[in-house]
Amino acid sequence: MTATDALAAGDGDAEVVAMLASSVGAFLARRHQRRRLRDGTGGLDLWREMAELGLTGLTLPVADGGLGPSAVAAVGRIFGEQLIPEPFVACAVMPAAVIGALDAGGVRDELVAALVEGAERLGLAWQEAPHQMAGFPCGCRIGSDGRISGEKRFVIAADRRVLVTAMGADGPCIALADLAAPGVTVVSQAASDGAAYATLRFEGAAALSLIVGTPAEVAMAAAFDLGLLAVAAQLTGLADGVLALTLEHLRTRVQFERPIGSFQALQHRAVDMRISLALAEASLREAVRLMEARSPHASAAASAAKARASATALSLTKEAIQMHGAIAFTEEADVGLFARAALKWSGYLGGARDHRRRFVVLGGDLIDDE
Amino acid sequence: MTNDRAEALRAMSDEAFRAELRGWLAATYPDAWRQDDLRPFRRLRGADWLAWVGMLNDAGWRCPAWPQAYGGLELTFRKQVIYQEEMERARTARLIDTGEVQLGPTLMIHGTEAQKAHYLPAIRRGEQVWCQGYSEPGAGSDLASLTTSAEQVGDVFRVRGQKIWTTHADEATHIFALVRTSREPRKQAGITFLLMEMSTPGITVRPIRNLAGEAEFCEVFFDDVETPVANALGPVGEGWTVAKALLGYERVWIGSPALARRALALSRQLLAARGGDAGLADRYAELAAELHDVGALYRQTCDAVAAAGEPGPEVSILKIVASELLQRITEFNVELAGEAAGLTGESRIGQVRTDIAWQYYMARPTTIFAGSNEVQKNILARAMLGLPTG
Repeated sequence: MTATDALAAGDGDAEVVAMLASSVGAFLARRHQRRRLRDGTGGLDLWREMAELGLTGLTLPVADGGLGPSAVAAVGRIFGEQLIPEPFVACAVMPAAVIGALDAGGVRDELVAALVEGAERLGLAWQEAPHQMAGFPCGCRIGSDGRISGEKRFVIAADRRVLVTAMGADGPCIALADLAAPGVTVVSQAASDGAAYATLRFEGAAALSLIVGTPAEVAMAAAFDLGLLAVAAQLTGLADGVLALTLEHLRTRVQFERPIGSFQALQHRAVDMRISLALAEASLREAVRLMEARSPHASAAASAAKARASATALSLTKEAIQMHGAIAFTEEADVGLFARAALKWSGYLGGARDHRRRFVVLGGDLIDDE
Repeated sequence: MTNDRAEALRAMSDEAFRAELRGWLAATYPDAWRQDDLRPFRRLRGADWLAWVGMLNDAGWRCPAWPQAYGGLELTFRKQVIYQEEMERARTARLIDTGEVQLGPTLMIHGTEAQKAHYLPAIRRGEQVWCQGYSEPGAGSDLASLTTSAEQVGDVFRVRGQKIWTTHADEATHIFALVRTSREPRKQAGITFLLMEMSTPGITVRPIRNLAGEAEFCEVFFDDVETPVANALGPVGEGWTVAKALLGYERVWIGSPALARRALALSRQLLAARGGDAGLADRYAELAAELHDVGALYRQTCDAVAAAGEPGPEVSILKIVASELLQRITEFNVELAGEAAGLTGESRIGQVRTDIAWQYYMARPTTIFAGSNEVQKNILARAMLGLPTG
């Protein structure tokens, strides 16, 4: 084993995660082509196949088939590297973390089944403003009659139902709402990674309260941190993918009778890209380690990882465009697909600056002084 | 030959070992030698250096990586990492010990039995203080172009030439140097690794004042210095290969973000003293998050080296990121200090006793020494990224 191999090994049940990653990687390489990002994103069939592989319930408790943070990170990396547009974070990682926290019983069983069978893409509508860094408190209200009012933004790709955060008489609440119900308006706008962002408007829409008070807050916080980890993994995978594409270009593109990758100016920039990726990988691994260990520093580490991955994906895709030259500015060049996804994911759930601030607020800067 | 002390340390769990060292440092290490806001990168020199090496030796903490056969502790790599972590945690001053870290391991590989017996115990006890004579005025990053020559005359080499940037040469008792013993078509050939006493007639040391006003490195002149042929380490003409064996774990330790951590602790003090705005808070947060990431990479790389037994080319990344981050933090401290950054010597900012210019200057050479960051990037471009040569 080389040091590089040892670095690649994660925490948790490394063998199970490695097997999952290997089967997911092979499956997606077969079922996904980058042209899907231009032709449209494909339907529920592929989502169902992903569910069969276990990808939609990774953040459920182990008893329900969950595998934990290291699996989330491993799968997220593959989604990023291959630019998979399916909403892994928004419709699997985050809602599953909430559903897993519900009390045992009918609704929970039905929602777990919907998740793991991939019968529908369930959303989690929690955000109301840009740069929002926590689910609660929020502006949406839920009455004692179960009717919800308020607006949610940056909601991704739910088919039929969403989990909605709202404030009720008993404090924080997460409820289940039907998007087709009276009093719900959905306005979608295409987003740069191929999946749309929607604004949901609730005007006294009927909803079913699922979890309230501190448990709701805890579930939402867990969903947010796991979401951060998953997007950080996707951004890191994306950075890895675009670096590979760029290195291939540097090795093969000939100008002035030499491969352009032999020029020192470009070599040093390529090394800088690889160094950025190494830091993103390290930060991601550290977040996985602390989340697996249920460390009190896990949230700070998740923010550090999201901040690093966001900045890295943006800078590597910009560098990749420059190094590819004019072709990179065309619709047909794949490098642009990476740039577009980076633009979406780097800001999703908070950008680099938001998360560096959160890292310090959570005391992340003092961890090593303990 | 085994040694009871080393066996006892080896038998301890990693955590017990950590507690043992932490306890000893807390009870023993003098406060005056600790890194602080005034000297966040403090190094020991002269009598302090000798005293600290003596304390380590007497208490059985000397030469953690050396085999027991040579009087070392022969710690696992994991325990060596803990050793470094605890030294950093206690804010002990840096100990530049070229004999222990660089020459010792090379002697163990290439030295004759007589050389090993003569030098290794004396290095361990701190009786010999070594400096490294590599760079020359005309041979920096392109080290193999060195011209200091050694001509064999009977059973002595007659050495002529000049070395430069020789750290602590003015305090060293011995020097190991790369000298040219023959001219070959390949410039890496014909170089010999030579051991000399600094008291040998014809050796002159001239300290160089650095940007911070301190005499840390020197020029060393060789005017017909005669040294026995038996003082060549390894085969004559094979010095380039012998020198390359020096690298080893040194490449890992040099990538530790410990100095960056000290510099950021100063940032925190300055920020508290002057009161910050959102812009400064964001700069601080950016540097703090980066330190977190670099720290994670460092620990993970140490874990990987512990598992694999051998550092790969990727450890060069550590040196680059740790040194560049250190510089950025010291630059942030300059910005926080405002006018006080222009003061020479100690200054007070609020309640913080510091020397802003010193920490800024002392961070400069970290991207230059031990293979400049640009040379490291040349190596990474080929070894890690597989980019073509020109």
